Amino acid sequence: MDRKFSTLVAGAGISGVRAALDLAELGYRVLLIDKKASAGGILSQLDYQFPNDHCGMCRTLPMIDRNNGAQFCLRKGIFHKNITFMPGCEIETVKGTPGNLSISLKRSPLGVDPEKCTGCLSCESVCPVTVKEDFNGNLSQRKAIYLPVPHNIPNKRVIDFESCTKCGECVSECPTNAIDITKDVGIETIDGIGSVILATGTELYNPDGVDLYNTSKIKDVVTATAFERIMSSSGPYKGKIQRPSDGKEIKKVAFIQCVGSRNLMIGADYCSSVCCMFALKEAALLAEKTKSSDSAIFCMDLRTFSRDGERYKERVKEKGVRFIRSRIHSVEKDDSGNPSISYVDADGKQKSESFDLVVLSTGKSQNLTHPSFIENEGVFGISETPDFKEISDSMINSSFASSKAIQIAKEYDYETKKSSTQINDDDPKLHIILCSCGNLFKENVDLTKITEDISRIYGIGITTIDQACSLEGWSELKSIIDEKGVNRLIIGACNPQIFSTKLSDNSLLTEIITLAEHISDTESVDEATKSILSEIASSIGRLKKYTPQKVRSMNISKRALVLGGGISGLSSAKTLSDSGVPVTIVEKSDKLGGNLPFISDETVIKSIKNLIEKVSSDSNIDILFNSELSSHKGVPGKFESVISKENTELIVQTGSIIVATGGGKASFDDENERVKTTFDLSIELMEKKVDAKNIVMMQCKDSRVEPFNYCSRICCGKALDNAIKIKEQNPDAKITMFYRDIMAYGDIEKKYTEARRRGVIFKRFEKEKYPEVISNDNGFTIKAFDFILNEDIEIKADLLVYSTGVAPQVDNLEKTLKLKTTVDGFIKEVDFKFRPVDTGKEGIFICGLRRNPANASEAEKEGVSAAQRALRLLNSEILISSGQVAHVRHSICSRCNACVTACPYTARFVSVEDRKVYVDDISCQGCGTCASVCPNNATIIEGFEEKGILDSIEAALG
Amino acid sequence: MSEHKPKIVALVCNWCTYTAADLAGTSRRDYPSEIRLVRLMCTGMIDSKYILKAFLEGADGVFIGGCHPGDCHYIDGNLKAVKRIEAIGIMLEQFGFEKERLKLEWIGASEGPEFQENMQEFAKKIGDMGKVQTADRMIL
Amino acid sequence: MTTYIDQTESYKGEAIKKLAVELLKNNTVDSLFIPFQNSYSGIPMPSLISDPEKTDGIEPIAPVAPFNSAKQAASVIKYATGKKTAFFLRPCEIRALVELVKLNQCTLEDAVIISYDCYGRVENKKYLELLSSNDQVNKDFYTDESLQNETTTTCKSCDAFTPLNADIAISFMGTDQSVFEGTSEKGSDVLSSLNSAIGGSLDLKSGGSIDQSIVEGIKEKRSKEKETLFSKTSETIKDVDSFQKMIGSCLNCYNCRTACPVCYCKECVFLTDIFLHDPDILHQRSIKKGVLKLPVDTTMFHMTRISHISHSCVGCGQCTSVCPSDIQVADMFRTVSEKTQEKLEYKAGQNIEQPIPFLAYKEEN
Repeated sequence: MDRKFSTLVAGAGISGVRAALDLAELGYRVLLIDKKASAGGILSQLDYQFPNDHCGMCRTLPMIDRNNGAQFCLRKGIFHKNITFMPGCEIETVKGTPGNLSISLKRSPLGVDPEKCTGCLSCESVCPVTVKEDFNGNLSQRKAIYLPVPHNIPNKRVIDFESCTKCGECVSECPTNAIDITKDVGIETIDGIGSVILATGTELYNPDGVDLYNTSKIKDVVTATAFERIMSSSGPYKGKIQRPSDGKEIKKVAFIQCVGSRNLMIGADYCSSVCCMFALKEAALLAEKTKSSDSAIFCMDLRTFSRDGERYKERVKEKGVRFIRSRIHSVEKDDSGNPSISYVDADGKQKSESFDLVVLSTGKSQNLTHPSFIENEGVFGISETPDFKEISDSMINSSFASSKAIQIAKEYDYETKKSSTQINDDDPKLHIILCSCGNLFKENVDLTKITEDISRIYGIGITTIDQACSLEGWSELKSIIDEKGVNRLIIGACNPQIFSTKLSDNSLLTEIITLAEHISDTESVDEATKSILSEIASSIGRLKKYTPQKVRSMNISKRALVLGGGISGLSSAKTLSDSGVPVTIVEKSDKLGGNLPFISDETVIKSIKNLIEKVSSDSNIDILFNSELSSHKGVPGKFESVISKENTELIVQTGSIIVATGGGKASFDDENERVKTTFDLSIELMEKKVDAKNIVMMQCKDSRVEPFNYCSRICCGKALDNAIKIKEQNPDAKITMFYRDIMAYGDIEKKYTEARRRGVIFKRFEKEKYPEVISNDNGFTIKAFDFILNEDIEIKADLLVYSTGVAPQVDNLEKTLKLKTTVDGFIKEVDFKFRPVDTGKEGIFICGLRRNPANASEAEKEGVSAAQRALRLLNSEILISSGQVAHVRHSICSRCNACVTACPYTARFVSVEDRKVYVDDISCQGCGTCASVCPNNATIIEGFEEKGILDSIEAALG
Repeated sequence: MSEHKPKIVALVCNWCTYTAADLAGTSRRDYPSEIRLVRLMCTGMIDSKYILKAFLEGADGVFIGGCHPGDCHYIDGNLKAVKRIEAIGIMLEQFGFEKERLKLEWIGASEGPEFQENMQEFAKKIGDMGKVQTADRMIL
Repeated sequence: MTTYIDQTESYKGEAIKKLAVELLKNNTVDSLFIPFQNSYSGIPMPSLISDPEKTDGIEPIAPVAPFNSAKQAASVIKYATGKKTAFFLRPCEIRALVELVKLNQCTLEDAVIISYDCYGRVENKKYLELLSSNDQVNKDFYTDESLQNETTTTCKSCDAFTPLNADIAISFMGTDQSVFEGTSEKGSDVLSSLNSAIGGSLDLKSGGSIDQSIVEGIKEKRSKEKETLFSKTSETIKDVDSFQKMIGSCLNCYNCRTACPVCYCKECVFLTDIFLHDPDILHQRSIKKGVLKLPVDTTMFHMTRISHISHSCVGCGQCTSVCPSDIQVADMFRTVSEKTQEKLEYKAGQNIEQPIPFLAYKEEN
């Protein structure tokens, strides 16, 4: 019987994939569903991500126990032995209790049996129904039977039953009888599931039909997603950046922000959080791709509240992109047919400007709620409401949810399975399997000649299978492997990557040939045959020289070291301890809680106090006060750290380290008691009334300017809280807030609305012109420029409140642990988007304020997420390396250490004892950078031996 | 244009360019069939010997395809390869291999059409250049 | 500030020898790494000398270098031992040593490097021949131009003959004196520690003068030689056919790589399993080619070696000296290297701070 699913993850976007992988990496079996016909969510449509304007999604894939999952581009699909993906599924009901949930799934028919479909396209060619292709933002067309994501594998067609007329043309045309249009929506119930993670994300606001944006009349007004498709080489125009109406090259684009967000009229009293960065990224990409520089972003605020967002914005500005503070009046077509935007600018003037294209930065759709079963025990949502989140925040939230699912999986003892350790060391026994792919290859290639030649020259057998991708074909393939006792296999098929996943077993080495690449309309059968023959020869050369990937194991120190007893550190420690991992907390001060004294929210204070209570009384957690990390060595799974505590030193052995040393208020000094910081005021307001009558709040004090050129993320929210509280206490108090951009992301927007409703006055200033403060006997006079009045103004105040931002802890850990930092001194994660809490040194994770500005709940989630990553190492007694790692042949190694410098994972180290270079099998990812800098092959990558590659090059050209 | 059909060895990284090539292949795009793909995990894995070997074995051109900077699955393997590939080009040029015969290009996973275009363009350029000096010979 | 020994009449090597012995006697260093002519070897061999009483055989500037001694020097300072050693090296040997430092093969922590203007060397065989007929050849070489004409092609076309990256540089080109200069802090300290010896047995005097125009003259002449040689060699390797002709008689003895001071691998990749072919590969190749010359991989070998270390080639010429088939390996290497180094904006042995290209990675922004 199949293992039970420990968890059902609903939604196969990046959040769902992260959560599913978290569980799968620990060995639990996961059922991943999506209501769509394919996985990937919105990211399958996006080729580029801030901040490097490229992808990097594959970095989400497992790094430990790699053999269990596919080792190729994640946008092609999610393949992991512990994950079963069911497309076209939605949860109907959830019954039962955690550890034994019974879940009914509504399964929509896909119309095509993926086991039978060969991707031959004949169905598409006969389908009479043509509809707009939503994948490409409705800018291209597709048939009712279609490929949902062009780059997905396997590239199996599905039927869109909403537009299908059930004419049956495709059914009779299909050569493999893969199509069935008679099936109805079915209900399937799966029992014994431990928990559910709801990662269904949200929906985009649909601007169609809104007069203001005029999308029905003007073709050149598109959504941001559609624009992303326009810029994609797999998009509607194949990467040619042209506009929909007339195909003219796009040079000048207007981005309209807050479409469907921050709009009380439609009940959207929220900020969608991601659209500003999204628009900036698209503007940057356009400028880069077309060498144009006249685009403009029309916005109210530009919310660049992520750590590196401010500097990114400035880089975009340098590319010539304009940021126009404005309210949009209308979008019309001008005389030459270009879309033209009429708007009211910051000083109230009516203006208009024409563009090649108008892009609507659509936010999340309003009034969305989670299904009611979210209330059930054992069901965990990734977010409180269906919400948009920046990718790194999504990843952190996913791991927060998956950590709860793991607790249940552990509690109810769900079976785990990791990759096998079996090694086949026998002499190479090669066999070749070619798929004739229906008639395609029979007609275009001389299969007889190939079989004869290979047998004559190399003495290797070839079997031809009619349809290797079909169910029958697959079982035939497996029986051939068994029958012939094959341990090395060459597969030639139209889409062979799928086989590498199915056959990813240590004992069978496979090489894969894409036969379709050799067939073209312009070349003869002879040429295709010759070309395939040479590719087979090349593969033989390589496969013969491959050594089976050896798997090594290592005992680990099952303990985690958490540096810092603040909010993120505490939540990390708690999560680890709950999973049965002993923890040592190293805290510099003499108490736990970190920034607790600066938190004014009663519920948050309560929950942190609760956390401190739990951690303090946890017998599994040792706490060292007044202590610091002084030195560190070892490899992941076996770190040795020296902790100095009040003039003594003690050594702690741990498998993993979590850096949570935090940060705090940026330093600010003012003797005047009528001058306060936003943080201090918020604490004061908990106790007493503020008697001031004229209060001026000044945002971004020494913040978002060099040298502290980042947004501290929490000050605007706190300042708004303060303003509302003062107004509650004394409605007559006059409050003026000077700001650059109110960073009221997500639901903080509601506070912004509330503050305005209560009469708080907001006045914007420019970065270059911080309002001038003159203090006098009665208080202060603030001189600033008013954009609306378009003149200099003076405001009197008897209380001045500065938002001074946060700064990372200065603790030298980047040196002790050899970690990278940002220019601002925050410790840098290895990939901002996809691995936000990984430092790049396996086994060492980063969370909380030491990584980036965050509020208490964000820091808590980061802490859990970091613990979750550490658990991949710590949840078992033994760590097993994935095959395909580098190793050093010491007898010929000259110890030049070029490999040590080249390794991107610091997986190599020089032993103090014998000066030799060693590889840490767990950290090594088998990239081979070390091998290429080694002049004499003293370092080799299993599975990619130079000999094999050289032989294959020789054979390919022979 | 010459009748000569150039032989091209394409050393491509597993994550991006191979994916793009695969996309081009599975979408049944047509790129010149005299291209021999050699899949490696990363362009950072490319040893200078692979390039030498290909040219000495009579490759008319060697194409190296990796992830865009910042995109590398292994953080920066692609960037680490750049200088090494540049150096081998400088050296080969002195032995009479025109530098155009060695090309490094970043092609992302979703850029199937780019892969095809690059291949066509490169094949055409190499084809126009005529046979490589080592063509149909095996220099050992 | 420079100091000098007046020695119009005497042999230039004497001053260096005196300095060496003095360093050892004063305990300024623990040992010397210096050519030493013993009773059983005609050629002065680099030796590690720690006994000041056994310094008679020191021949610091004999016009021969049995090998480029950088690798041997590196073996003495593979890691810091606290034993201070004075290394007497030719400029090309220092260049190689600098490369080896960058390749993590040694550390200069315990080393004091002393070097001098290099007039070149003759081949080992030639030296023995000259020595058999003239036991004063070490001295006469520096006064007899016909002897100087016997130096190798490489030396005649070497324009990097003055010390670079030494701690103490000794000049005797363009002067009748031996002018000592501390060219690093370490070197100056060593010289000043010998201050007490000024006017003593070493007879060091403050000052010293060099006629730079003479040095420049030699440089110009050698540069011209080099230019001619390189353009001739460029022609020889302009394509694979010509190159194959040049290396046609290569035996795969790998002497060139053993003699190469910057070929630092413990064992060459061509001796590893990658290039040890199975018989079926050899037969396959033979079938493809019709005629397969054995041994195989000679072109691959030379080209790979160039690709591995041409950026570090210091142009010492030892590869040519050791070739049993008289292949002008050094000409080829120096010609290719010069262009490679120029384009990579790197010069082998020049700047100890500049990392070897493509072994250093800039932080990504």
